[in-house]
Amino acid sequence: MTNDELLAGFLDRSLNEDQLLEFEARQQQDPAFAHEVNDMLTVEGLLKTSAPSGMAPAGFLVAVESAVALRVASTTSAGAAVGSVFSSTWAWVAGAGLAAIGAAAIYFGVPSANVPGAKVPSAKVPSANVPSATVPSAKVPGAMVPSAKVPGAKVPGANVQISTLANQHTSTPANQHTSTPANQQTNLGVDTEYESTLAKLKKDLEACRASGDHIRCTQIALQIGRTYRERKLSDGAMTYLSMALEEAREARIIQYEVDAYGEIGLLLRDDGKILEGNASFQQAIDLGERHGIDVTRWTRSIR
Amino acid sequence: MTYELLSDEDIFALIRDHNDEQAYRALYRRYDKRIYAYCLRALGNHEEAKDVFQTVAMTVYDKRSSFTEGSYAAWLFTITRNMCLKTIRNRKNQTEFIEESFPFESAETHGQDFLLTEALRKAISKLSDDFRDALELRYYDDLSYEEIAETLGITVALAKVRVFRAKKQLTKTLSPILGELR
Repeated sequence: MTNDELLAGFLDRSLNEDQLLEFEARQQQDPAFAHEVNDMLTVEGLLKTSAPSGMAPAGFLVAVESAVALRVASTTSAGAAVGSVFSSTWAWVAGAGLAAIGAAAIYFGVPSANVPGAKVPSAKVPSANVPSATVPSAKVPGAMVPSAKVPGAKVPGANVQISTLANQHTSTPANQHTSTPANQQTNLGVDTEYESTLAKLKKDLEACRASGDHIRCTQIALQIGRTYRERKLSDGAMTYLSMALEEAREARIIQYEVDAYGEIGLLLRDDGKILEGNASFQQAIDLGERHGIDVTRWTRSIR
Repeated sequence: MTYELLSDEDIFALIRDHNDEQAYRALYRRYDKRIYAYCLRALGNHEEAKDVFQTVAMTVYDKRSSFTEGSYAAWLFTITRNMCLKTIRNRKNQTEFIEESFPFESAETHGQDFLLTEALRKAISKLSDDFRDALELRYYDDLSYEEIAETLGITVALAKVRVFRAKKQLTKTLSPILGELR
């Protein structure tokens, strides 16, 4: 083996026993090689410890996480709603037939409300409930224009949403007043979208509570509660997190129960109720530990 | 469910197939800091790094159905790398960013020899793009050779060669300083 092959193998820890013996022998016979090995090890050590640790601005990563998580939760509920309508082939056939009748009615100038049954599918499958309506399809690699580089230009809605969430996370009432009219307009649009997503989630939550799907109810209630908490809307947050806790107990999914206790702890802590918050964290920890669930996040949250 | 015990690919399957929000959060937290650091390193400023990071986060979810096999880390870094490259290509005024102060923590804050770390950074910046990409993915982003190969679209053997040669080149460039340390 050449020196380079031995050295590469040594650094990758891929040499077998014989090759390691050869490597050591080569080092003893060839001082230049020994120096090279030392230098390479120094550089490798330096590389491992000198990784640039560029920190993201405070709250940014959490805001992005929340924004995408909201979409995940939204997709779950909207997808399930659509799925429940078209869960059978017959429903698809019926839906397609009714849609055709509706289309024909529109084409011939007949109000669709006058066509028997035409109202049903269009009312049950509103396009706004489909995730793609809130997720611009243009958001594929290559189609993006960084929002900050083109102020006021056509920016995909989801991107604006995250940016605004990030701003909300760190903004104060004072700097909200200093925003420009253009920003206000953008924020207004985002808030509207945000509110409509929340409204949709709440509607889905009602529907799933009626159907008794406790797992999905827990997911949605947790998401709504978490979103309210992040927006500093304590009352709404407590309502939905408590609901999530109840649903998690019904569903008997300990992970969600732990999450709900933890989220309630964060909410109480944010409201300055440190002792109550700690008590809730402790419940999350005790429950999690009893069931072998990772509770590091809540352990760290206790003050 | 304890996501800690699941692989990236298993968690991603929960997101893709069941829209599991908790799974999404678990997987996001495994990579958020690394991806942001990658963007910042590649782009050199927080403004663009934030834009690209957001886009990556959205794209990963939007394109979830397109990932069915292979390494999730490699797929994620491929998306990130492509978006960073595209952003760099789209810069109208490149000089605006070239000499901008590098927004990373000072090496001094890590208690390391400042001169040596600075020399290393300069040496890395002089590597060819191919070598630097492979080296940084290995040491800064903690990817395996297999993941580096997938990210860069090369063979595993070539990934190993590039990393090794990059290190050799760094050693050669830094040899005067290293000689003083001996």
